[in-house]
Amino acid sequence: MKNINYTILGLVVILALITSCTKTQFDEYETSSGTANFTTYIAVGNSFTQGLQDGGLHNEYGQQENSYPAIIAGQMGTSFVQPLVSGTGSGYMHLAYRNGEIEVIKAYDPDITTNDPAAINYDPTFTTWANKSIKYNNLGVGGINVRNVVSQNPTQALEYHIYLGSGATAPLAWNGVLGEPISPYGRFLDWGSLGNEREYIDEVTASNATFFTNWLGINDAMSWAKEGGDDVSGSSTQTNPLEFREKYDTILDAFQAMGAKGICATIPDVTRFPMFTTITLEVLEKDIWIKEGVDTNIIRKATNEDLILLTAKDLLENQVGETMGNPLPHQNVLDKDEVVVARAHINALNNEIRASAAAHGFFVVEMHSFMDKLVSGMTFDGIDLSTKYIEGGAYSLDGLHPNTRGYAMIANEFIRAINLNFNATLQPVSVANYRGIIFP
Amino acid sequence: MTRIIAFLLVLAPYISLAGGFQLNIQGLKAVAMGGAFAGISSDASSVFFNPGGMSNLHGHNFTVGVNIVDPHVSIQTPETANIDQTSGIATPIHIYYVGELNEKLNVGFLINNQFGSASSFEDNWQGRNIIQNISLRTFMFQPSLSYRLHEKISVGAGVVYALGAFSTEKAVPLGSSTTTEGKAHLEGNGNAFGYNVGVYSQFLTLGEEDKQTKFAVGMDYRSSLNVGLGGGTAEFTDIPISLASKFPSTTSFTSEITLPSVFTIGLSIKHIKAENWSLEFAYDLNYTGWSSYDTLAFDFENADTPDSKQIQDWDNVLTHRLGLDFTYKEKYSVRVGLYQDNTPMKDYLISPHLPGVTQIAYTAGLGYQINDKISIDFSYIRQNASRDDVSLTQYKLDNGEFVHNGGELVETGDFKYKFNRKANVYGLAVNIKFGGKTKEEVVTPE
Repeated sequence: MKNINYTILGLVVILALITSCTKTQFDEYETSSGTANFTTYIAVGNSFTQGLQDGGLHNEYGQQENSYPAIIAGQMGTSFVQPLVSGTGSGYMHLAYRNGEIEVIKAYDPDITTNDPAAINYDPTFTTWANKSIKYNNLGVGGINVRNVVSQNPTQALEYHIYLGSGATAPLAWNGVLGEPISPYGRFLDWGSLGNEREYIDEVTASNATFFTNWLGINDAMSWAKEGGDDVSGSSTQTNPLEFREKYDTILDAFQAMGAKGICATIPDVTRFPMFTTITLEVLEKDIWIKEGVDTNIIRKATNEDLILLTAKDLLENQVGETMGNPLPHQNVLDKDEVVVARAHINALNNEIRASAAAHGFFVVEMHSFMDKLVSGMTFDGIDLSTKYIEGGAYSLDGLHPNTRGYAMIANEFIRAINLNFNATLQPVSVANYRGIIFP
Repeated sequence: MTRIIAFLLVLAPYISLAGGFQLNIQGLKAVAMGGAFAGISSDASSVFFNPGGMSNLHGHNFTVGVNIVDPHVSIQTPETANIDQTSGIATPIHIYYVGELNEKLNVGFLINNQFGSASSFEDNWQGRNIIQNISLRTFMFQPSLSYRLHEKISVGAGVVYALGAFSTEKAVPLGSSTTTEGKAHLEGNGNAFGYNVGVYSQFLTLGEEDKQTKFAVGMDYRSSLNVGLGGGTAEFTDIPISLASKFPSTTSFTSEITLPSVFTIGLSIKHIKAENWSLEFAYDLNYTGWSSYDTLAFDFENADTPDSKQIQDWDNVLTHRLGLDFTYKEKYSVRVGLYQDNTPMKDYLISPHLPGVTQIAYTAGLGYQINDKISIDFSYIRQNASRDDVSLTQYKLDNGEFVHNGGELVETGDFKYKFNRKANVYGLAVNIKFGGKTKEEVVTPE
């Protein structure tokens, strides 16, 4: 028996020793900024940078708080001030579940009388939603084009001021109120007054950035395309590449002058976004008559190369486009020639972005090729994302802007490029932890 | 009967020991000797390792054993510094009986858990849309018979009845204003028949009575087991109301898991110095048919629910097992061994729930013969594995079918990670023997 006792004692000792060395845990990550300095991170860009989705700026489920630059700043561990909207913000599109169907409910439009009863209107606080005296890190302004950044003459200055600052006539003003700007999304900045305008470039110059991201340029191509490739109002022309380059240079000059480092992003091929790829002849299963454009009176049957916009949905439901005498209006179709023009224009602008960044010694993140991958689909943390409208999970209900999960994916691509170019070790985020479409 | 089966399945342990989800811990003398036993067949575990070797045994031999498997797995992704699996301790068992009917015939029976896998992660872990938790439990029952063809050769065979229970959970990435995501819970069980055949030969004995060297070989084949999981239940919870027709609260599913065949060749050499001491060397080569684990697919009865598929594409693997046993005075045994555990998984298709890697594992054990009737065995396995470059590649699915482009599957991404895995396995078994010939009359190797 004595032997057994010793054996058992020996075993107990051995087991205790073995069990003690089962540590498998990895050490926590240490974030480093590499050759960059993230003390003051400034993001410039349009609605994508501002965090707009579902056709509006809203923050009820953290949408604006999780704009891609805010996600990046969170990983940098740097303070990042954004002009957050309250309540329903600018108003926005949402989904409703009615009679067993999921319906897209458009944002409330003050200019029409046929709003859905459930349509979400802008919040009363939105007209003066932000304190203009605060210095914001997120300078993303919905609707802004590169050409609006700085004016070349007093006429342009006036034009941009009416667009972003104030002074629009009632029918053009975003909520029909005389003296308001055409676009409401720049209200958090001080645009000066008529005749004494402050411009976007002035905000950039005063930003004291140590690091910046620049994703301007999307609207210079997208605004034209999403209105069917027609120059219907001042906001939707394609920016001339020469003017684009000159003004893009001006922004980078400003960052260079303050000694900032940073990264510029290329313009994605917007014609691949759900806005352009959801309503197809295959889905409609019928012939559709279209009017080609303002510059042509051609009315013809749509082909698979013509992109029918999401904005045509209501018209199609009312039998528009079913006969030659009642074609889809040109602003609801990016016809096949316009698709070619749009893509060539995007490529031209991207060449200017690359050249301008190279000339200033700044890096470029290729958002164009990255977001193209969504056409075939990408998987993050086991979640499949694609350009498919709603089901694809990456874009918001407006079919142009990503949803929060899509923005997280974009933030990670920026982070990847920042790490690569600045020898930094920012941690990407888990895309699964960000909300996708909010279903009823 | 159903109730008994259900009860057994609740008891069935479910853990993984790397090298796929096979539990190579079915006999503790074998475990201590690197898992090599097809050429030894000295106790009742031969009903599992090589039924042909049952003919070596006299009288009635019982073995009851249990292993305590204590795995520790940590994962690191680019996004999360450390994630610990929450898989707990498991205790697979084995119960063997081999009895001698007459000079020529032996019978045997086994109950054990030959396959099993269980992994879980915390609810909010990064890969919850890939896997939240998964478990496979099996119970095998095998009545067997062996027949001595010749003084030096015996053959044996058994019919295997397998019960399998499977369950898994993962997140469904669909949220509403009140939920951030839903959850899918799948559960099913099934059974399968297979067989286990073996041949054993103690073909050469050198030396005299008081100083002998014995050589033996064994061959064994255990068939694959095709466990169909028909009529499994899928439950979807926290799904937005508008998507309830796509992910209903309950629907059924069918799936199938094929447990692989295992072919083994074993060799043993035992040198006996009278009743003073013996030294035994054993080598086994396993060929495990893991290529049967090709795709894990779930077909849902509800037509709107997208079918789920994950490519596994495992490879058949060879495993080398080496062991030594030193026994003093036919009473005290010390055993050591090692095995090269080849992973059946491709580097780019390793799911974080079952991180595997080709590794050498070390084993050790003790045996103590208390008296003529009772002996006990202790065994221990230590597994250490780390890799910093594995991933689970994701492929494009459309309506539950993989999308091809130019003959190739379309990749949509990969879940990259590093892992550290340490496992301790402690075994304890009791062997009881009564009846049969006295020790002096036993002529076959011990």
